[in-house]
Amino acid sequence: MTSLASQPAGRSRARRAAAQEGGAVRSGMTLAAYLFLSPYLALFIAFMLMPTLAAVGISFMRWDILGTPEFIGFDNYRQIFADPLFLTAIKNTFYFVFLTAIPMVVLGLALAMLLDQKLKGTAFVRTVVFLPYVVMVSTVGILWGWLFDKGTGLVNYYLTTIGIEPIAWLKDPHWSMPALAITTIWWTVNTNMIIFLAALQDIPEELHDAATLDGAGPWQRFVYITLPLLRPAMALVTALTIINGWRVFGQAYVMTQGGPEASTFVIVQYIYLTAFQNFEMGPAAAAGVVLLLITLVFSLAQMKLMKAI
Amino acid sequence: MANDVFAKSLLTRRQALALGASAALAGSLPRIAFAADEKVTLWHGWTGADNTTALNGVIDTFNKGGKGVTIEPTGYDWDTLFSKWVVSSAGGRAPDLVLFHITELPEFATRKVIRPIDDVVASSGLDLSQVPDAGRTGVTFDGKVYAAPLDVHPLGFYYNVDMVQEAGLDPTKPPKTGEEFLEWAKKLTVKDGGGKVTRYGFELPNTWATARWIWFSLMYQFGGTFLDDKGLAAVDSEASQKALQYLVDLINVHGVTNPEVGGNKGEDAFASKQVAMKFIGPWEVNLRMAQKMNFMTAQLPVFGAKPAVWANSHCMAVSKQKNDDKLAADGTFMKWFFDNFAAPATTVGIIPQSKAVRESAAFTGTEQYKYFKSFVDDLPNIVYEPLIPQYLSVFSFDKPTPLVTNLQAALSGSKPVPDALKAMKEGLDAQLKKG
Repeated sequence: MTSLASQPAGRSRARRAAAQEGGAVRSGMTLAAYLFLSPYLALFIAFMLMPTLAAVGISFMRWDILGTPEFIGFDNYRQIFADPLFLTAIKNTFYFVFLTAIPMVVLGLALAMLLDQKLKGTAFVRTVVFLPYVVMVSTVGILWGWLFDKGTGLVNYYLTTIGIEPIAWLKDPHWSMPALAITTIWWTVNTNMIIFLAALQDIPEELHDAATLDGAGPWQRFVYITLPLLRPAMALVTALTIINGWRVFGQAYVMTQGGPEASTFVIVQYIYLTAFQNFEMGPAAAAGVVLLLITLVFSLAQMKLMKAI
Repeated sequence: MANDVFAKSLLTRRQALALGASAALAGSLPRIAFAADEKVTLWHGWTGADNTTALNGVIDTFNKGGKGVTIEPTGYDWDTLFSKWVVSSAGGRAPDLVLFHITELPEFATRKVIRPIDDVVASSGLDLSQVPDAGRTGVTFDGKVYAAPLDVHPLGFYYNVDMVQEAGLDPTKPPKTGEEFLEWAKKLTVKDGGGKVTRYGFELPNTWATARWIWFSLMYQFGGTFLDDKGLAAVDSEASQKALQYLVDLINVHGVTNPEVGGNKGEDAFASKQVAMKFIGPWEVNLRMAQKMNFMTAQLPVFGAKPAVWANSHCMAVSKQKNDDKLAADGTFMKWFFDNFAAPATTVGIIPQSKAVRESAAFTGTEQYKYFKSFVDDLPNIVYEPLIPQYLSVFSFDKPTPLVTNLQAALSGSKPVPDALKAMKEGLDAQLKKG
């Protein structure tokens, strides 16, 4: 009796002890997790979160760095939206995102599928394709500046061999943004390729084998196996491409300085020059907040869209 | 006893010597620290490899000269230099000396990142009377001298001697008028059998600042000014329209230039023989010599009623600091640099402001001088861009300002000249009224 009665009590004690022990383990693990995260979190808070919050605050101030900031409400936002140059910068940046987003995703995937083949020398080709990513933006800009030159550039040389008249890529307002888009795709498509390649290698071979046995051809396997399983990678790649597109700066700054006729003037250049050439920190911060909101809206819309597919 | 006395006296002497040596050593330590060179930081924008080497070489000579001052130079590209300087000033860590252009001086004086240097000029003995009036005016703001004007770099006329000879022209008699220039430009423009231009007579790129400097020179040659009496833009004046129309006609009517050729970073239409003539500052002399080009320079032709040529100038100013402890050291270097400017001027490709230096054998005796001479000859005709506190935003190199965007629109043909200049005036006035 005693033993029977004491059994549940003993079990519950054991459960409590186990729970306590488990809790201790869990809290220990939580602490460990935080400790592992802390180096990144500290840097994130110091160099991302705090400056972002500070920028939001500065966007409501009049401040030239040297003086004392003065609260002026939404005046900076009114100023930038009344500035035709800012509106041009938004329009141009949107055009850049439009020109780069789809090719960056499609080409990234195509390259990844090509390099996913088990052929001799694939590792070497992968390295070659990834190589432009490690080149500095100034070098990329100067290099493509030469390639796009109307008189002596290699691009026009090949165009003329197929009967196309030379194009003043960086000096014609109609061609300057496509030229920046081509440069950017060459320079950064490889990051998308790497993400897709990793995702492709995660797809179990058995699925393809089973589908092949069932009579599925390469296109059917791509549409019904590869693409659905690549959805998380596709979501990530698309989001990153769009966000990076909105943040474009270096290529435009080195290759065209925003010209000709403001055709490549982008939002980040507006922010940089307003802040560090005109020393108008308020409007610069306001433009930064607008850029943050634009990328946020695009990212959320893109996430919703990916969920819906 | 005597030995004892001797021993005692010897010990006393040793002790005295030891004490004396210790005292001397102790006394000398602070003296060594005091005698150590005063370190003066200098920020500049001469980042081209040759320029940095030239400047560092001159500074090394100064540092080894035993003047009690050591200069520590740091080079940044101009944009980075200005933003770092203003931010550093806000944080109380500004460099002691800064080298920039005199057209930027009113902006930095207004922002109070530099201090007047009348006292430094007086105490160091820097002889500003050697500087032409325009240079002295350029470094004066609110009646006070803010910087030492070091050089002047006007626009000049470069032409390829081989091409000129091939065209049957005399390279020793470069054009002096607009008509003569047009004649040269037409003869130097080469077309292939299909009528396609393979070489333009003149380089007038639609990017960077070259077109701005050329139009600015021509505007003054036709009797115009950039600003009116009220300090607002006068760029829609008749003279300004004539100047810009002349350039647009070179492209569209005469076909002797193409705004899509040359001008971008890394492009060199003059060396790659895409053009035969160009207008640019003396800073290209060394580059052309290094390329072993057969070229010559001349004064800018007079297209309008009188000679006028765009120019700018580097100057050296003292950053505003919490105290004036280093003023004497700042002054020592500024005077020495001003007096010994022939070497950096020759290597960088700029003309010394100081008459004494400009006429010294150290400058006139160089192999570059035969090219520099035309720039020196044009000094009486130089015009600086307006000395206004909004200089960096109005005359920005790398922002599609109203000035740049409308100038590009006129040259590319997307806007007629009067429309482009009207839009430019509206945009400039908005910037100038900002204060």
